[in-house]
Amino acid sequence: MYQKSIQAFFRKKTTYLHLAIIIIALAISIITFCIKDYIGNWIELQMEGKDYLKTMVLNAMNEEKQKQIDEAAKEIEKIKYVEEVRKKYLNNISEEHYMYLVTVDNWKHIDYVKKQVDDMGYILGGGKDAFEIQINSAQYIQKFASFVNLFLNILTTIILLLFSINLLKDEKADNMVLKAIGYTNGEIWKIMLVKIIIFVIIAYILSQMIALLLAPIIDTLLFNYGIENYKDYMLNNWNIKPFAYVSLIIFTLGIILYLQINKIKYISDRT
Amino acid sequence: MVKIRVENAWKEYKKKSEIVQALKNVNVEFEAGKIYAIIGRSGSGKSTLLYNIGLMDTLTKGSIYFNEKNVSQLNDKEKSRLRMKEIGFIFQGFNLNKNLKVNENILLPMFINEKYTKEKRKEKVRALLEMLDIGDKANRFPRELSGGEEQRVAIARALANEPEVILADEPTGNLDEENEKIIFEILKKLSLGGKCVIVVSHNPEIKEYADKIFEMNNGELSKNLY
Ligand SMILES: Nc1ncnc2c1ncn2[C@@H]1O[C@H](COP(=O)(O)OP(=O)(O)O)[C@@H](O)[C@H]1O
Ligand SMILES: [Mg+2]
Repeated sequence: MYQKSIQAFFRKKTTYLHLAIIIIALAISIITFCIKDYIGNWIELQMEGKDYLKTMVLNAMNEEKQKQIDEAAKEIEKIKYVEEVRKKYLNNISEEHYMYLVTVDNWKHIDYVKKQVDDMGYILGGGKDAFEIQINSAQYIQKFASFVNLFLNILTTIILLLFSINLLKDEKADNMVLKAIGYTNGEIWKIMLVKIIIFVIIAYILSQMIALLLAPIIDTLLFNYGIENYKDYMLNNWNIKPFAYVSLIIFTLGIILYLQINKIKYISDRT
Repeated sequence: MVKIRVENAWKEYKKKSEIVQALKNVNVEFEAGKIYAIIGRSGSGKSTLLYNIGLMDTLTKGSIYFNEKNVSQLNDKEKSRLRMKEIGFIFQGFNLNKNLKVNENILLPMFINEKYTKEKRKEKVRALLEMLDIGDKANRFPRELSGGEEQRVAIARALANEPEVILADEPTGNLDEENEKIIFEILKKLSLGGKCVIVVSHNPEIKEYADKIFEMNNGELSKNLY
């Protein structure tokens, strides 16, 4: 039942044109996703064990301000993500002179806590500042990859949707004939869906291969920014997320097709 | 011997705000072994009647009986199986799948018919092509055929599951006189072989072949004209 319809589908030139477009879009989508994901892991790895990055300093500028920061410290303790606020005496100057060390649970929350304290009118120093320069370009690349990835995901979804609509239009007469010769709406739907699933899976496998083939080139590019081992990551990890995304698209298309297939009647010759 | 009865058939289409009454209380009977012609102006509802008889659409009101069994209320699956076993459609535009070869087009209806084994299917295709005098075209694509040949392939496809009823919507609309004659001859032969053939046609020639002629006028079906 499926074989001839699938054969007919893959005898069409447009099928291959569409396949090429989808493969390119999906490949870029997969590559940007992997870059985004890998840099995230890489930054984590760089931060690992460097607990001192999570601690910031609240200092009094002069003697008069000393009392005020006691109040501030109490407030800071209530801020979300703050794990500990500790008083530290600077013995070498005087017994009266101290500062507060503010520790957050995770370096990712440093910016958030700094912002809150800033809003209170105080400044937290230190923390990952020293380290930030190192990961700055990595974070920049990660943001760029995320943006391209999001854009490509939307684009891929739209392209697939357009192809499906096009396929429905293109095969309207054929589907009407299938109905006339006794196929049920459900069978016609299954035939359409199997075609799309095969199409998308071929596109996915080929774009995944392109992503792997391009890994050495991207590895070199990232290496220039001090980010290493992208290639190893690509070769050793199979990311499930792009596949899950593709499956979700197929699922959605399946529902849309189902609603459309039930509308097949006949084509009046005069339109 | 199949018998089809259309009873108080009404069909309306909703086009945006406008409602079109395509069939207005149509009552008619069709029997096996005869060829029926439905003539009438464009837009008078001929196709609508034909496709409702063929269970491709649902009447707004009224019933269709196959051998005294009311089939209007069947579900999609039951209607589909009835179409497969009992009805062969022939269209003005042939509607062959242009990406399938001639024999593959004819095989299409047989895949869902459990009465055929793989061997029997092949045999049937060969027999049909022989019968319709296009035995040498089995491995061609539709674009390599003439219009008359394409329509004969379409007839072969309609006959693949050996239906009792043949419904043809302007089957010669895209053909020249010579091919038109060939197609009408084939339809006549099928009716003589016991099938119930209903042909919608503009073509005056059909009068020479038809046993009964009806005229559609604005959704209403006239009594037998000849
Ligand atoms: N799917 C449809 N939707 C809306 N109106 C339709 C549809 N099919 C046919 N009609 C209308 O129903 C009337 C009868 O059409 P049709 O049966 O195709 O006529 P004929 O075959 O005699 O030319 C026409 O007015 C046509 O515009
Ligand atoms: Mg018509």
